[in-house]
Amino acid sequence: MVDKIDVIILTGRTLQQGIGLEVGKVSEEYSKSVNYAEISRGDSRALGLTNSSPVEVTTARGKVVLYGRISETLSPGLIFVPYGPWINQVLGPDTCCTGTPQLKGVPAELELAEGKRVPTLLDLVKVMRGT
Amino acid sequence: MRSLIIKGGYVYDPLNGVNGEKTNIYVCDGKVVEEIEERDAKVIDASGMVVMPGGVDIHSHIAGSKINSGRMLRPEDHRKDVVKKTKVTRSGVGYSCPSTFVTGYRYAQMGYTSVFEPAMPPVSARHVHEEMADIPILDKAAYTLFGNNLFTLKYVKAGDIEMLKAFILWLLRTTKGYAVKIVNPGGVENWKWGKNVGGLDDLVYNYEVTPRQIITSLAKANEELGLPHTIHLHCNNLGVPGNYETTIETMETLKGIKPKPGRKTTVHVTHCQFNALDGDTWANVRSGASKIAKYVNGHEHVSIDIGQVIFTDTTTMTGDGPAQFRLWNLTGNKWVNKDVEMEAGAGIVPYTYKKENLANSIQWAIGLELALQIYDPWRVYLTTDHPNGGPFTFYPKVISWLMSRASRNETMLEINKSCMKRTTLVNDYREYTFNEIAIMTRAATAKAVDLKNKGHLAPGTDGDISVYDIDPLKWAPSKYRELEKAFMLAKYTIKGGDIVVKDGEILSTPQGSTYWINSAARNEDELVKDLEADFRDYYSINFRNYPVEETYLPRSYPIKLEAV
Amino acid sequence: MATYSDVICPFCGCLCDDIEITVENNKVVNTKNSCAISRSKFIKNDWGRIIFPTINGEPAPYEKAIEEAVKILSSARRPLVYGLSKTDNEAIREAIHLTELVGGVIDSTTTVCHGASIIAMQNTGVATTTLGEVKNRADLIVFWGSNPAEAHPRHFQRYSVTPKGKYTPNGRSGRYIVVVDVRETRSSKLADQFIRITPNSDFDVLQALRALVRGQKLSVGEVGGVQINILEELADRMKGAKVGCVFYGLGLNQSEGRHMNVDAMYSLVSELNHHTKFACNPMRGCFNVTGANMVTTWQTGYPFAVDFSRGYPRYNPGEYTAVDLLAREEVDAALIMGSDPASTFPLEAARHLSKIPVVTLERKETPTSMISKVVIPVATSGIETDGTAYRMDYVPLKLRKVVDPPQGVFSDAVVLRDIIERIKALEVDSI
Repeated sequence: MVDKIDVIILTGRTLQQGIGLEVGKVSEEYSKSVNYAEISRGDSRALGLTNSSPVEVTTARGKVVLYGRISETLSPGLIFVPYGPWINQVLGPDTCCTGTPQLKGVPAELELAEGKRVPTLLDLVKVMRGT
Repeated sequence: MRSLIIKGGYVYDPLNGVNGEKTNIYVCDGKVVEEIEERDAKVIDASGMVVMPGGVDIHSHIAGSKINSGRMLRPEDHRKDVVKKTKVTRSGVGYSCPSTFVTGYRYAQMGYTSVFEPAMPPVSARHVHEEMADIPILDKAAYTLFGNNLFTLKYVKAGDIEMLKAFILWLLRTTKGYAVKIVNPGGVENWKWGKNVGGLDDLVYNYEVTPRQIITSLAKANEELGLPHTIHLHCNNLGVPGNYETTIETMETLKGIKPKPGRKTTVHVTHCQFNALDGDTWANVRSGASKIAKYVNGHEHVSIDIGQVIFTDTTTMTGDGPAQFRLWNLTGNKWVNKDVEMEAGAGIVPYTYKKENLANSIQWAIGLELALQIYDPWRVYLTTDHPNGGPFTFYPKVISWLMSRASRNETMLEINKSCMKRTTLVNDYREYTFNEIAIMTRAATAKAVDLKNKGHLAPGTDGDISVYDIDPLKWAPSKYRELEKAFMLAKYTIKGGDIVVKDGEILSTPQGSTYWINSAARNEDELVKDLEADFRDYYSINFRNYPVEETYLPRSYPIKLEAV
Repeated sequence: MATYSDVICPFCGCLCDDIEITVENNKVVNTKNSCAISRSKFIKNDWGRIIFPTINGEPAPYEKAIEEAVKILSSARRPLVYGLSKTDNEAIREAIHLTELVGGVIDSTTTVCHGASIIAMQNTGVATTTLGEVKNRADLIVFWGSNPAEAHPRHFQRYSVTPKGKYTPNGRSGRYIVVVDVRETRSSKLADQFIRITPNSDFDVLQALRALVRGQKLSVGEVGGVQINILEELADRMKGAKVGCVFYGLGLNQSEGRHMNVDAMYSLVSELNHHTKFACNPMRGCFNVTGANMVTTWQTGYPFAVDFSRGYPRYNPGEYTAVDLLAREEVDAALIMGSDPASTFPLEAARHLSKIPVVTLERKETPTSMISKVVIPVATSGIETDGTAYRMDYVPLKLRKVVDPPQGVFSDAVVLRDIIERIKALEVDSI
């Protein structure tokens, strides 16, 4: 078992995220659809992760706590988080003059976040405001 | 009651036999009228100036997915020519792919009041009309693409002229189009498999019909329906050295079609320069213009527009996908290809016509040779196939080349000299008169599309008039720079009786009208059953969502055909 | 109760136009033919709607909200108008007009999605086609960096995998489907071949394919985690297709390399046209982001990130793109419509939005509306208003209204027009 693992962040759309955002951003469906990270079976074992326990993702930009979900198909060293304000906590605005920030293939560190809470949407808005 | 008098100008109204007569034009409530009292009207002093009906451009790519892809492709082109907003006008960009507002302003500034988009793919017709709504001032129409449409091919194969006629009317109405446009018939459909056609009797895959059959069927249907314009044809083998033969063969094949009563022409060959090449390869290419001109002179059923080349950087764009693929291979420049839903296609490649380039020099000469060697100005029209030959803002330059041998000489001295041996331009001493220019840029083009209220100044016509600050009595061909300047920025452009341009400046931006054919054949119900079935199987949108609603035309001007 | 058929779904770039809607008491109660996301949009259309304007979170009359919006935008030195993708062309036209009036910058969600595709197109061109052509002719489909099963759920059945077309009478069995991605997805599960590549290696893999298509031999054993023999096989398969089409997504645009990844893809596809017929299509996400590009291009010449501060349009990705402008704190006011940048932008950019006065036109509460000074509710484009939208392949369709908006709630176009009229009345000189 290890404390921290180096991972690459992948982001993207999911069906549930689509359904959730069309209900509304403040809906339960939406939060549930984007506040987690899919982690490979191998990495989950290495960390000692059980399904739905909180994990913390850290990049050079910041950190965020998400629910960990064990994936049977993801390769070790990769995590998948649906697009949304949760993962945007740790993604940077550097677009290399293209307009598009790097939202996929971003290096990060992953560890268990026992005792830490996954933020709500309102928590994230507070962070945005700096309050 | 808005009244206007254009006083004392030298009027060129060829359709009504007015050839430089010093006379007044009276406009009331948007129409030309017999005469009005001066005290009731605004008076424009046009003494010492040329007065003509507003310009009518029969072929210019101004609206739709093709030109828009061109705009998107070329931010570097836009930066050359930025247009600031004013109290009256919106901002935008110009040069070879001008934005919509600027397109309207620039044409109006040159004294043009009607411009026609020559290639509308039916499934994206809505796009053409959305853009047209954003082109101010000008009256417009769009030609619907038919030559590679799956239904055209189906009915041509079946030899069913009645269904073809019904389809033409249905599609024109559905797309709010005005005329039947044909681009590289058969070739664009073959291009969807990566192939082309090389001649009039090649086969179209899966349909086993030939370009000859497609062209003659559509021409026959077009004339029997009595559509205002003949078929508008971009011939096969565009841009291929030696293609003048295909062009003449094409024109010959339409000799036997009976034109609708009231006209003698059965085909309009567009941007003919690109299809007037002699020789076998780009290495030994020569001008085929004289041969084409000879044919056109001897046969009344053909009209052409020249598609003049300008020595500048521009953007070529055409529905002829395979031709553009060839151009991409030739130049290595960026290339956009777009195949459209069982109907049409498009290809876009930036291109620079260079004076030192022999082939480009020959192409330049060809356009002028066609205009100078065809005697009947009622059958040869001024275009650059904007932006393929060059931006429309160069029309005044073309006018100067046509009206002044000295102007041509100046350019001939700058181009690749070997071109002289491959063309006959150096022997052309003809100089167009103001009257002939008025014919080939407004009277004839309006007549060719049968818009009875355009292109001339008889009472009852639309009050579309241009005034140019040049004195025809004092002008001589040596003063070609002055001529160019005068035609570049009109002294006045009047549109529907309103002064929209004064001293080259835009004063107002009224919405123009869009002309379209609103008729249906007697057997349309039968046609629709057929269309619906194929739509379900082959299209990716539903039948109900296909037709363009009239609300997309802010000023809709439907024309019903007689006896349909 | 009323039923409407041939309704166009305003969710994603597929713009499926065969939806059947049942309406009762001005509410959508059932849908047919719609995917799960579409169904959610229609049926939950009235869930959580904002029904009155707010200023600083307090309810305010419409007139006051408009006045406040006018004040914010006309007094700003560098206003940003952003979003556009989830509304119709009629609204987008007004948004451009407004931006030109106040001398600001206008940008759409393109900027974080397929902006890279457009930049690549501007460098290289692209060989593309409409979806009906794919349905009727293509026998090889490649999905690259895209997961339509989750993002464009009916794409497979309507356009690219199963439909029987004029020259594809065997539907699915007449097509070979390849999925290239960095992970297994619902889409890769139904492919004939799944090729897994290492994240951020798209450029290398695509360039390797280009070389192989040109008949060059590569001396390495693998590229981007893919064995050379797999790539050789794919290159041959692509060359040997009757008609091929690549559908690609944000795996290319948002990874390291951005537009260079897309450039490599476009170049590969253009190259393939020397051997056979091949096309390439971006999987556009929002239902009218393509329309936003179209309208912006025809009115200004440029497809997104357009600056009007000098009185004429200027375009320069990196300089006038929204994320960059916000991250550099260059913007001092914003109008947001048809999008939720506070959710979709990296934190640093979203943070700046919360520091400046923002006017948001929204249907439902979002993080963006929560940090806005003025929120004006708007009707749902394509459900509560008619309007024009462009499918991912540029086919323009007319969206239809099937229910009325809430009382006192207008379309984006109407709200923008009200703002524009009042700004014109102020005779603000934006230069």
